[in-house]
Amino acid sequence: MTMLDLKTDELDQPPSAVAPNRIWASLRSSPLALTAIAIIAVWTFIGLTIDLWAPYDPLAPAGDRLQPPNAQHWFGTDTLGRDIFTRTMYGVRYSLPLALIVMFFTVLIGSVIGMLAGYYGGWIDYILMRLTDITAAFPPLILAMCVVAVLGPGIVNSAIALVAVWWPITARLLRAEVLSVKERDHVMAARVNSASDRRIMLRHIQPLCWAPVLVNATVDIGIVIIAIAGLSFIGLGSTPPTPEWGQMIYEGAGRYFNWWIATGPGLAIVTLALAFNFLGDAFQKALDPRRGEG
Amino acid sequence: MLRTIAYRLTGIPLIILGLLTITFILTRGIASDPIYGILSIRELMNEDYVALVREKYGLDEPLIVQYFNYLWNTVQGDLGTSFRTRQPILSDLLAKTPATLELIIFSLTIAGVLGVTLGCLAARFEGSVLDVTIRAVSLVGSSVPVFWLAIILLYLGSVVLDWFPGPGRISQRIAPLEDGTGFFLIDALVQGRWDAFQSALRQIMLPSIVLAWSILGTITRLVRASMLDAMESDFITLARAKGVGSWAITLRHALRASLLSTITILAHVFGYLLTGAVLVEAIFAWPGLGDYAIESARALDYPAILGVTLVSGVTFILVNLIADILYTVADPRIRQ
Amino acid sequence: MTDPLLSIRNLTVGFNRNDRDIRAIDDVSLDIGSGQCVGIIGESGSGKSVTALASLGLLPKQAWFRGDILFDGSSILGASESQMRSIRGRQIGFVFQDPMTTLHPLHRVGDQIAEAIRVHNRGISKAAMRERVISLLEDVAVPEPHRRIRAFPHELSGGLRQRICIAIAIANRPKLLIADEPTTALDVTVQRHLMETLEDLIGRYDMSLMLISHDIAIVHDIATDVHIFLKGNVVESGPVDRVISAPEMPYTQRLIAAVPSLDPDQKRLEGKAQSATSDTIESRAASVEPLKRRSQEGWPASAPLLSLHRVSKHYGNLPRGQEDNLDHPSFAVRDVSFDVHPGECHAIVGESGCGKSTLLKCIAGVLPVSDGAIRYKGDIVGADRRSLPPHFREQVQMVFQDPYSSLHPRMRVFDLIAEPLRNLGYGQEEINSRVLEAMNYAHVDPEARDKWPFQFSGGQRQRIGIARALVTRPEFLILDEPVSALDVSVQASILNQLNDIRRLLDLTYVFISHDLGVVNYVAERVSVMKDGRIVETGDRRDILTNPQHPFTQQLLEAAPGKSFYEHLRAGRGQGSQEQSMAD
Repeated sequence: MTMLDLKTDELDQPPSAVAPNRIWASLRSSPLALTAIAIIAVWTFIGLTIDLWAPYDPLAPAGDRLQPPNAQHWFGTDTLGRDIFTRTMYGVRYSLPLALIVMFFTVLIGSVIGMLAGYYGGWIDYILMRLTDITAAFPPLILAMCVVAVLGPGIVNSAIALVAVWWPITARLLRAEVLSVKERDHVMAARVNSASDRRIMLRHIQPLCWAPVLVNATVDIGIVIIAIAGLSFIGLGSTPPTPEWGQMIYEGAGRYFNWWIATGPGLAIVTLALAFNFLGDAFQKALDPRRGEG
Repeated sequence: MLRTIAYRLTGIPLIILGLLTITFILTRGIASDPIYGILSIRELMNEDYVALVREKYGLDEPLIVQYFNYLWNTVQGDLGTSFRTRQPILSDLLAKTPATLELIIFSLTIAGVLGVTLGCLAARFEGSVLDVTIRAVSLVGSSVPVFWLAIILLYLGSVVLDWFPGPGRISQRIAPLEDGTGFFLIDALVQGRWDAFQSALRQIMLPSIVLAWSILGTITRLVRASMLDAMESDFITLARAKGVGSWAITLRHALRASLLSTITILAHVFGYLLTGAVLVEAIFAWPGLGDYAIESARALDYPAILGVTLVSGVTFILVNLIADILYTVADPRIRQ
Repeated sequence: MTDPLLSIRNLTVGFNRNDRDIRAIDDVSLDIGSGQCVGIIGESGSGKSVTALASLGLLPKQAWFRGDILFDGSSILGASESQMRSIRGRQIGFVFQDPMTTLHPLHRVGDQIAEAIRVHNRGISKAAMRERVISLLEDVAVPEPHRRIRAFPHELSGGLRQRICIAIAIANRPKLLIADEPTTALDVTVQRHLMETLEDLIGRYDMSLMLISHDIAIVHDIATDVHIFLKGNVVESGPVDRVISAPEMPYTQRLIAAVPSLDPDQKRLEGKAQSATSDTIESRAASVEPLKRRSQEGWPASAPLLSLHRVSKHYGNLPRGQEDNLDHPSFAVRDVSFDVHPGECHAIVGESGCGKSTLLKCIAGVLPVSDGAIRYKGDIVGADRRSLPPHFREQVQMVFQDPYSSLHPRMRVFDLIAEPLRNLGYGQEEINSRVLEAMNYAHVDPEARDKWPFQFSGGQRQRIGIARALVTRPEFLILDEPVSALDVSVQASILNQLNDIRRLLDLTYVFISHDLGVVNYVAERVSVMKDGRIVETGDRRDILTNPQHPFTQQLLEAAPGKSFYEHLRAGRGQGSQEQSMAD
């Protein structure tokens, strides 16, 4: 496309400069994005109202042990005879809010570090980026496992551990954006006009940097949901009898011939993670029309 | 080129020092007193004995001295003793590593070949039904928790379809292999044990399909994106203006240009594979690092977990270093 | 009459983007005969590149078209992909604009040339291939072809890379060569030699040439016929001499009148529909009262407002013992001295990479100098970012080269212009009136205050940038290639405006440019910069008519369109004669 002198001005501006109403318009016209939003909305609704309509008690036996799915127990029952459908519905109360909180703090910490490193450069950049390199040198879930093991198992500690290992991605993305936006003449203009460093970072650089961070964070919410479940699966997250998805899958792991024990919570994770993946993809498309789903 | 590689190498000790510092802070700074891990409750009642053990483990020294002791011990290969197995952690880890590496390399090969092929096809036929299908499947792929997929595939593959054997690394019914590299496929070939090779191959298929699937989507998407980037470059237009055919353009020009980022992509997903191995080895009764890590985690045997973390960190760094070196060799702009 | 080699018949090409239909070209017809050199002139967005790509059947997938292109009597747009492949590269060669990105970065240049040959000649032996590649490299005057054949593109300069691209284009002796802005990305001195090579090859191998350019002067030097493109239409066609000396269409007349020349007695240029507004700048200014005439109060005209004394600047750390070695490559600016007096426009001319941008950042006080001193009104500038002379940030302002990246895309016009005042802590009322004043001077429509930058064209954006610079009521403007990213007609009107503003507000300029024509139009004093050093400083007229330094002579010699300007002068003379006779 670079060969053609058709480049319209809209395509010339950085992705982050796309106006919010345009992003929304683009999301609305994408069936995938609408599906994603619907799935997330349904899960949110379930999480808020489950107490009102849950068919069974999530913690107490509701019938015979190890029933395969049937009319009374849509997802079957587990080794203690608890209703897996009820437990799966309750599970969203742990995974979704926890993933959102983890992502919020991850983006916050990562952005501050990435912005400072990219903007100031020099030794600040060197120190912050080496710290990032070291943290990112571990496979995230393994380091998180290590942190939880040390902090002590628990669902809050597993969230803290995930924040502690997840921030380098945001930091690197944001730093790369800052480095490129910093070279734009309007930043030079702000500098010539004696804008303070704070103002240049917040007003002149930051608004043009968040596009890749947003796309990545959206997709990562899905991955964090899987990671939270993973930590519980290992035995470091929630403790029995919490109806947490990873925990429930673990209960089914040793009994793979009773396939339904893990199936309900597994499908729950897949739907939510997929929804955030679709949403991230749609953001990508809205922010950079040449990329993303065609 | 040598200078670039040397430069990369000099960064490694620094990062490893960082790794060690982080693990030290985790053990001594945040965790409770390590003495509780070493001694039983009954032994802790005896104060003289506690003091003696403290001295023996150097726990009575100031933190800074402990830090340097820790660094020195680690460099010498002493990672401490596992609370659970009562064995030196290093020897535990060395015994477990080949199983995991065998699994990871097998998965990476499957996923790499498939992922690059699918990514190329999707980019070549951008916007077609094929492209949309490949992209949809790859999105679904990265939304499936690998530990759940392992359970489901194990059920489908070995119970319903009966194509694959159940969990385990090699059939119990055949005579065990003699000690060798620890890579069963290689050992079986070296020892001329065709039955063992077949069995090990059948056993590794299912777990490596699971692991490969978990990274296939990521590889496909990244390869597709970098191919599309390459296809938009001016040099592709030049190739078309030369009259070069479209498959030759895809392979000789676009793929050649995006192979560089493919190297980086493969190194990047290696980290996912390590994580994936931790999560699925237990399900497949695969006696590797991951299985060891989970057992240690459940027993809160944190010296052992730290050992696993350190080893996987160092492995990951080495893989990235190899990728860097390959990149340097493959790109004439850096090679100079 | 024989059939033309390439014949474009009533071609319309459109693109469907975001549900809007954009017409790139509309009903264009033109012919190129065997051995003919045809120029296509147009500003950005005129559809000239689309025409070129269509002639090769290389339109993007989203494009639709009507009409046809005939090559040697057979249809191109109707041809199958495999038929087209046998035409591309063999019958029609193509030279693209940017040699930095058109070569594959990972293949050796020899292999890239060889590929162009092999595609159309299967089974050629290795030795024979090598011979042909080397003889091609000799054809395009690449020195040391035996060594260069193994080079990677990044090891070659821009000029050499473009020669490789030409070698690829002519590898199979095509009948037609299409060159799309082949020298635009290159420095003038390189440009000249490349065009000579191209002209020589056309003659030697009897090829036809379609030369696409925004630069009338370059086309004039080589083409026999021209077609002037405007917004997807051909507005005027004919033999080049006729079109230049006696343009019939108003657009062509304006286009030619807008080109700044090297003539020291250059008259006021004709800007794009600016005659109405630019003449009224005084009346506009008067309407914004009460306007204080801003002169350099308390600063005598005889003393330099800005003076540079032995200024050097290097990046990174120098090796021990090399601190004073100005020849060390990390120096971007080397021992530069010159004075700028109040009210004058001092131009700095140099090619890309000569250090002019670094020098300018030092003068603007955003980059500390390594050695020497920059003084503004006698006070030191640029020792570090915090110690600036009093009111320096108000009195010294800057206008940038790229009208796109120099404006924050998510700020409205009013906020963009008001930004400097906000930083300086002015009150809202003062800001309102000052912004309005600056918009008036810079010809920014006051109605535009709540619009976003992307709603404006390049020229309009540049005016917003100028307004931002004027809003602090500066005395001194630093202009960094303010018109080089603009089309020639817009360029002329911005230059006129800058001249008017300077006269009206008694401003002093430092004006950076690579274009001697532009410099000739705006500056009184000129410094010529090369490799970080100022090689010559003098009055504009002296530099243009009597250059002392060999590099200055080379620059003047290489400036395109010698014959064009002679022709132009003759034409203008004739025109004015006719005018006077009519009176």
